[in-house]
Amino acid sequence: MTRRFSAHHGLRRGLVPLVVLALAGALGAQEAAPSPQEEAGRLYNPGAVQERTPTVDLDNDEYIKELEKGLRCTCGCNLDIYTCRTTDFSCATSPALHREILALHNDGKTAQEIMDDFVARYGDQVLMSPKPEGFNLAGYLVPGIVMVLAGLLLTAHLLRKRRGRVVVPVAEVNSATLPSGIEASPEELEHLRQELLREDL
Amino acid sequence: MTLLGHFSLWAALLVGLWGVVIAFSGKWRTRPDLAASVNRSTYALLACLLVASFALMVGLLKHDFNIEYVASYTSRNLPEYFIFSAFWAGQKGSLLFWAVVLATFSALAQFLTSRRYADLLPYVAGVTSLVTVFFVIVMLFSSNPFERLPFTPPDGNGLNPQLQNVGMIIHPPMLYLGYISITIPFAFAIAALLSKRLDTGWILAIRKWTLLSWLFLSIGITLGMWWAYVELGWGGYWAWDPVENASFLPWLTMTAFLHSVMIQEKRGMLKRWNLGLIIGTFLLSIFGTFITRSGVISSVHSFTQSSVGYYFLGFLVASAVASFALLYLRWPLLKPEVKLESMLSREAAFLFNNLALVGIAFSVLWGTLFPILSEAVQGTKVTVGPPFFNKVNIPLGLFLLALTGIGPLIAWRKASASNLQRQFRWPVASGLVVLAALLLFGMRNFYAIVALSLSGFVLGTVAQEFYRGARARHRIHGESYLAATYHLFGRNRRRYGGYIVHVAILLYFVAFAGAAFRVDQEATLKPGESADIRSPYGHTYTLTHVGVSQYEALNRVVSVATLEVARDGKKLGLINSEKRQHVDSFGRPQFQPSTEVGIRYNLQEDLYVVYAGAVQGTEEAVFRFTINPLVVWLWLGGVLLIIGGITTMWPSEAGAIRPIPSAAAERPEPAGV
Repeated sequence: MTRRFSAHHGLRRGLVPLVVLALAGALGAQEAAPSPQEEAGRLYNPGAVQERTPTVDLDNDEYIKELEKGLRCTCGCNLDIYTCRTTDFSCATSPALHREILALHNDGKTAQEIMDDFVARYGDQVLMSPKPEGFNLAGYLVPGIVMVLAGLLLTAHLLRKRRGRVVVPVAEVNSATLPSGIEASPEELEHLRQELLREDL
Repeated sequence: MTLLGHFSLWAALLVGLWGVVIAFSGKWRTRPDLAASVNRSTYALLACLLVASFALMVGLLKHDFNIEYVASYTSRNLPEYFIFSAFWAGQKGSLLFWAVVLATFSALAQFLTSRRYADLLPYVAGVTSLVTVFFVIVMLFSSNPFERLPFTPPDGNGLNPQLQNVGMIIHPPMLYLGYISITIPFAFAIAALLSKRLDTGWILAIRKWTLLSWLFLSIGITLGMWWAYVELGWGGYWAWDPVENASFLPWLTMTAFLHSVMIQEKRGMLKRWNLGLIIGTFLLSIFGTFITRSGVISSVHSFTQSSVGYYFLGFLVASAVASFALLYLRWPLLKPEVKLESMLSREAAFLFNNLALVGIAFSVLWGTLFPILSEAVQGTKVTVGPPFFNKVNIPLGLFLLALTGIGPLIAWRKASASNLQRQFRWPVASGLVVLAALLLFGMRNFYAIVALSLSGFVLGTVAQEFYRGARARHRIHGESYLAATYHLFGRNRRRYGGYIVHVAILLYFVAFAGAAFRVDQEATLKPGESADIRSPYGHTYTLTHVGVSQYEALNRVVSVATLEVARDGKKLGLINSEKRQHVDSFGRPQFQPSTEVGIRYNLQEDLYVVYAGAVQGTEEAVFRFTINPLVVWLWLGGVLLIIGGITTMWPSEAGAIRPIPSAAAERPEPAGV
C-alpha cells in the first residue's frame, strides 16, 4: 500500500506549514518544521473514539496475519488474534498479543517457534485448532470415519435390500412391454403417468 | 404490573399442567369433553403468557427500573424501537418471548390443523404444553423477568450498542421463531408415535410447519450473518462460534428432513429415519438453547452464565430418552412400504443428500463439543476454531452442492442410462463451461473453482427444469414461454419453489467462494492522505481521508470518518465509517465505543471500511480497508431463499400432491405393537 498526499487536499493543507516556516525563518527562529502529528486537527471529543497507535508495515504482513489467525485471543472472545484485534477494535488484549508476536518475529523467531512460545505461556487452548496428536487425532478423524462408515453401511444396506429384485428402468417401462415380475399393474402405471404429467406441467 | 406478570406465569403453569396431564393420561379418548378441554387449554395458556408479556412490555415502556430486567437492558434515552428488542435481548425476557411464541404456535396448530387429524391433536397439545410449561418453570424458579430490585435506580444500564442495530430487532426473533416452531412438527411426530397413526398423515399435517420452521431458521441465520457483517466490523459473516453452530445444527437436520420426507410421501420409505430426524431437530434446538444459556462453552453470543443451563440439560436428556424410547417401541410399525430399487435413483440421491447433511451436522456438533470432551479425557481444554470446521465441512458442503443438482434430475425408482444422458448433458456442460472460464481467467484456488463450477452445474439443472416445463406447456397449451413459466409455479409450487431455493443456496456458495479472495489492509491516514488497495479483480481503489466530524445524538456521541473513494483514478464518491460512544441519560459513557462500518457494494465486491480509532485524539485515523469479493450474492441469495420458501408454502392450484401408489403401499399395515 502506498501512502501519499492527494493533490488538492495536500496543496491546501501544505500551505499552512510553509507559511509558518517562512515566518519562523523571517524571525530567525531555529525551530524545526511541524511534525505530521501536529498537522492533524484535534478531535472535539477525543474520549469518544478508541485510542490507536499508528499502523506499522508488519500490521499488514500476510505472514503475520496468517500466524495470528492460528492463535486464539486470550480475552475470552473465541476469536483468533487477528480477527479479534480487527473486530470493533475494542479489545485491549489482542493488540497486546499482536505486539508480542511482532516482538518475537523481530527477534528472528519462526512461526513454529512463536506458536510454541504461545503454547508454553497460554496452554494448548491458544491454538485455534488442536495439534493433531494423541487424543486430538480423534477430533480430526472421527467425523471422517463416521461419514465413511455411514456411507459404506448405507450403500451395503441398500444393495442388500435390492438384491434379487427385478427392476426395469422407469424410462423404458410401458404397459405393452411390461416384463414379468414388475410390481405395478397397468392401472398403476397409467396413474403414474398422469401423476408425472401433472407434476411436470 | 410485576404482580400481574407473576400471577400470569403461575396461571400459565397450572393451565399448562392441566393440559399435559389430561393429554397424556389418555382419558380424553373416551371423554370428548376432556379432548375439547385439552384443546382449549392451549388457548388459555396463550392468554396467560400474553398477559405476562404485556406486563413486561409495559414495564419496559414505562422505564420501571425497579424491575431488574428493565434496569439491566434499557435506559431512559434508548430509542423506543430498541425498547421492543430489549424484550428478547436478555435471558429472562427471551425465555418469556420463547414461551409466548410457542404458546401462539401451539394454539395456531390446534386451530388450523384439519379435523382429519383430530385424534392426534390432544397429544400435540400435550407435547407443546409440556415444552411451554418447562419454560414457565425455568422463569418461575430460576430466571424470572418480573424480579424486583430492592431499590429503584435513576436510570438503566441501557442496551448493548451492538444490539442497537435494525438487524438485531429482527434477527433474534426470526431465529427464535425457527427454533420454537420446530416444536410443532416434533409434537405431531410424538403424537403419531403415541397414537400409532404412523401412515403419512402426520407428515402431511406438518408440511407447512416444517417449511415455516426451516424458513424462519434460514432467515434468522442469514440475518445473523448480515448483522455480524455490518455491525461487528471484522469483515466476515461466519466465525464457527458455538452459538452460530448451534443455530446451524437444526437447520441442517431440518433440511435433511425436508428432502427425505419426499421419499416417504412418494414411496412410503424412510419412516423411521424421518421420525428420527424430527426428534433430532427438536433436541438440537434445545441443545442450542442450552449452549447459549449454560456458559458451558464460551461464546461471544452467550447470555450471562446462570443456573438455567442445568434446567435445559435435564430437559434435553429427558426429552431424548423419552422420544427415542417411544420410537424404539414403535419400531416394528415403521417398516418401509417399498424398498429401494436402484442406487441410480432419486431416492438414493436423497439418501446421500441426507448423509451429507447429517454428516455436516455431526462434524459441527463434534467440533463444538470436542473442547469439553478433550477436557474430560485429557484434562486440558483445546480450541476448535474455523481452521478445523473449514477443513472438515468444505468438502462435505461441495458434495452437498453437487447433490443439489443431481437429486432433482435423476428419476424415481431407477434411472436408465438414456435418462441420465438426457437429464445431465446440458447441466454438466454448463458446469464445464464455468470451469473452463475460471481456469482461463487465471483462478487457481481449488475449492473456489470447484464451488463455482458446481454452482454452474446446479444453475444448469434448474434452468433446464424450467425450460423443459415451460416448453411442454408452450406446446400443449400454446402459452408464451413467460406465461408458461408463471403457470409452472401455479401447478406445482413446492417443486418450483424448491428450485428457487436451490438457486439461492448456490448463490450462498458463490459468496463463500468469494471469501477465498478477500484482501484487507490497515492504514493510518491524516486528513488529505490517501491509501491504495488492490482488488483481486485487478483494479485499484484509492481512499483519501477527508476528515473526522463529531456530533451528539440521542444516546451517543458519534465520530464520523469520511473518505473519498476513487477506482483507478475515477472518483466514486464518499464513504463514512463511525465510532459511537453510547452515553446514559446523564451523559456518562456506557460500554466500549462501537463501530458502524462503511460499505460500498456492487455485484463484484464490497469495499468495506472500518474507522478503527484515532491517533492521540486527533483526526489522524487508523482504518481497516477490506475488499470482500461476491459478498452481495449472499444477501441476494437470502432474499431469493425467502421468495423460494414462501413459494413452496403457497397452496398449489392443483391441490395437494398425492403419493404414487404401489402394490406394496396398498398392503395393510402390520398389526400394532
